[in-house]
Amino acid sequence: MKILILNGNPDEGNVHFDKYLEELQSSLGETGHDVEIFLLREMDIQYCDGCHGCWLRTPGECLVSDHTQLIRKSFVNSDLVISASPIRMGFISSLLKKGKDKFIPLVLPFVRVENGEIHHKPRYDKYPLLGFILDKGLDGDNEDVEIISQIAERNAMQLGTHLSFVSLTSKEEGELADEINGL
Amino acid sequence: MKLMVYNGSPRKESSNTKMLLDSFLKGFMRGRGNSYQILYIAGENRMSHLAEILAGSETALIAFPLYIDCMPAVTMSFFESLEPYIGFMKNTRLCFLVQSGFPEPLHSRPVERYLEKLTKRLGAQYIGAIIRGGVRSASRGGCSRKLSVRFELLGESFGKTGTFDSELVKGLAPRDRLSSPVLQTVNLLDKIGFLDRMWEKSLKENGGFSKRYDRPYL
Repeated sequence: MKILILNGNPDEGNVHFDKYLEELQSSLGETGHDVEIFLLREMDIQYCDGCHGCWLRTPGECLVSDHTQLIRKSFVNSDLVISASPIRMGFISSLLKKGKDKFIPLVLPFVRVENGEIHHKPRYDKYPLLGFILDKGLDGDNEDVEIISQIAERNAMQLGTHLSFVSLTSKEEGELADEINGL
Repeated sequence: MKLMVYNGSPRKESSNTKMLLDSFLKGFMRGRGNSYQILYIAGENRMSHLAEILAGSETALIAFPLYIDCMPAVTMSFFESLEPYIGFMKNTRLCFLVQSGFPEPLHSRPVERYLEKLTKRLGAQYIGAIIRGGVRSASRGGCSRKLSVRFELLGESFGKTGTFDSELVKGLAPRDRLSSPVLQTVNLLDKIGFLDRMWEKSLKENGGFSKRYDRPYL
């Protein structure tokens, strides 16, 4: 599988988190997967300012040419995209969210009924499976994980794909790699 | 009552969030001695300054549009700046407004749950959250007279009691899902292409119509 990992760890001092993802990358690489990690804190990512230019003026592309172009391109060409973040104030980091807000060009402005709800129509025929890796940190708890998972489920639904897993860094990376191998 | 209002929309003054807040605050100001101050989160370089103001406020309303099923990243960045105040906001009362283009409130329910948890984490008192779906863009005529009156009434009652009138809040989000007759109608309108027409008009106005199905990343 082609796997993209979005590392939304905002804190370079939190080396354990980065290391966890790097080890996961090498385990998955050993079993033949092609794994790329984007370290979001070192990328140029501008906030989505809600201009709708990516729907109306340059359909499918953000008017701002920042590094999220690379993220979106890799996203649509991957089989699995793993969003990774330490939990901060009960949620994924604003850094990771900043990247995700720029996923809007990946869908059409038009809407349709899907699962009895209104959703945007897809721009692409196929979207990757989604996964999450979270670190509870000092302050995160199970309820936070549950809320993030609920929102992640909705993200997947919007993109017409599935949320494969929400995993915590307390799980051995080898064990997670095995689970991913089984997908 | 002095109300601190945080507008978390990336579109700031031209946001649909502002449009709804304007009506709410118009009603709120009918209460004797009431006053408010509006702070825009987007574009603020010193989030810690906004956080400090919140910690010193008695009552605050934080409003934002739904972005990818939750708060916009810039609003999350503000929430992150509240970290030093975890457990220390017991003198602050918090309420929220989440608005979306999607018609059904269900899209906003998970973030509503997040907001209640955030309030608890800060040790603040939770007044509630107003959820409103189907908000029409300000550039397409904005909110109907009926909707702005509803927000005015809610603001007015809040200005008097300091709480949200549950009937009025419920009235803004009467049912989480569209009923099946409505869904059938929406499906039909989609089949005959009527549903796409509104966006097609905007696409033509913005020069993107011929490229509307482009897939630049394949």
